[in-house]
Amino acid sequence: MIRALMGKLESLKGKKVVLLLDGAPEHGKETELKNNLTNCPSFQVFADALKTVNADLFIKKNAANSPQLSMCEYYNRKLRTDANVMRNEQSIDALYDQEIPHGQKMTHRLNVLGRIIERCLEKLRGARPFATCYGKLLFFLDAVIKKQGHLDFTEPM
Amino acid sequence: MDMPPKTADNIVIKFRRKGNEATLDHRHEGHVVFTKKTEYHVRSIQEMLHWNSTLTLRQIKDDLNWNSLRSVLREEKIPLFPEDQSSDKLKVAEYLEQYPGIVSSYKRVEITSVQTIANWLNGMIYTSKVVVHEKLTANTERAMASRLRYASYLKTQLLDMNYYIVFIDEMPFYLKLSRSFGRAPKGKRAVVKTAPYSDFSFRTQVAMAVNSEDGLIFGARYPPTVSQAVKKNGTLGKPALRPSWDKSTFGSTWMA
Repeated sequence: MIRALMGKLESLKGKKVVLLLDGAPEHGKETELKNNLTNCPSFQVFADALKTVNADLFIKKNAANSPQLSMCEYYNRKLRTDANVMRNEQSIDALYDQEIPHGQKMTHRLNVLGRIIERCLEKLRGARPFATCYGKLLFFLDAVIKKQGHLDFTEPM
Repeated sequence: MDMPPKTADNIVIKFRRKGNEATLDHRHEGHVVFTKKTEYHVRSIQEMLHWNSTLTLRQIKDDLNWNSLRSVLREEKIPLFPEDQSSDKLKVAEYLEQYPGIVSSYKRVEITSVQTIANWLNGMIYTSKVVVHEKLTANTERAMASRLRYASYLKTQLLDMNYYIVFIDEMPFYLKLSRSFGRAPKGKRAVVKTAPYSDFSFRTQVAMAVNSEDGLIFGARYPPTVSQAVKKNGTLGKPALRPSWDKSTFGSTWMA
């Protein structure tokens, strides 16, 4: 990720960069997450690079139990749908069912799954940002603010 | 109009023979639609599914029948057994056995088939879907207060062009994938062959970073790798596939 962000350094000039980490309780506490990040050697490189373009860096954690309020969640769903569709294709079935020597079957199947995910990720990388995700995120943010923090899980994502 | 040519031809022929009369649709004239569905049923079903969306058609049918029986008993001024508060198919039979006089009244309103409930639900535009699990702790006062703070913060930042927000998350992909529902002859189970392993140990983790203006800015996968576990006595175990992703590494991995 650091490489991807470093490539955008010019466009981050003078901006406030916020790294918004997923708020799932199993990822640990906010301070723990921040420590994990800041202890990485490359973090300092990134932070220093941001300083050179007058950008500030903030690390935050999403609210817990609020997948609707994270844009990543919409991309996750898209990736999962794409991957599952691809996994059901006949050509992929044929790949899975190839004659593989005993003892290598599992690794082979994992490799096929990896290739599927990689192909779907590639598709997402090349795609323009999904306006609908942004719209939905804003819709849920408005709804949560209006309902004083209550998140309605019956609303479709 | 999307009308088959043959149908159009027939209409023209009929029109020539009978004039305007031929163009009128008489199919539904004199046709009486008999249904036991009442406004009360619709409201009851809506309420039942509001409180428990996983009710089966049979449970809904039994609940409605139990309520119908209660109203019949009320009309006949027959008191309920004191312990009866919930729906129970057997109890309905007991009442009918004990009070044969109410059988005909009850049979008039009894719903006999689950298909009836399915048809009603179709008419009410209720569809069957995957259940979403909402954690009991998701909307506690504390969680709501924290979420409100977060939502207000995020909305302001999203609309401010000076901010560049990177959403970061991860998700698992399991090797096993098959639909939960399949087709098989009646009386037979739908069976899918799978490899004999626990898919939890063979998950491929996918990490993503997304920005609203740039879309996906980072995406990487972490498949399980072959490694040897260290045993309690310090020796190395058999090489095996193990997850390369550890929960504790969430956060640091992004900077790799």
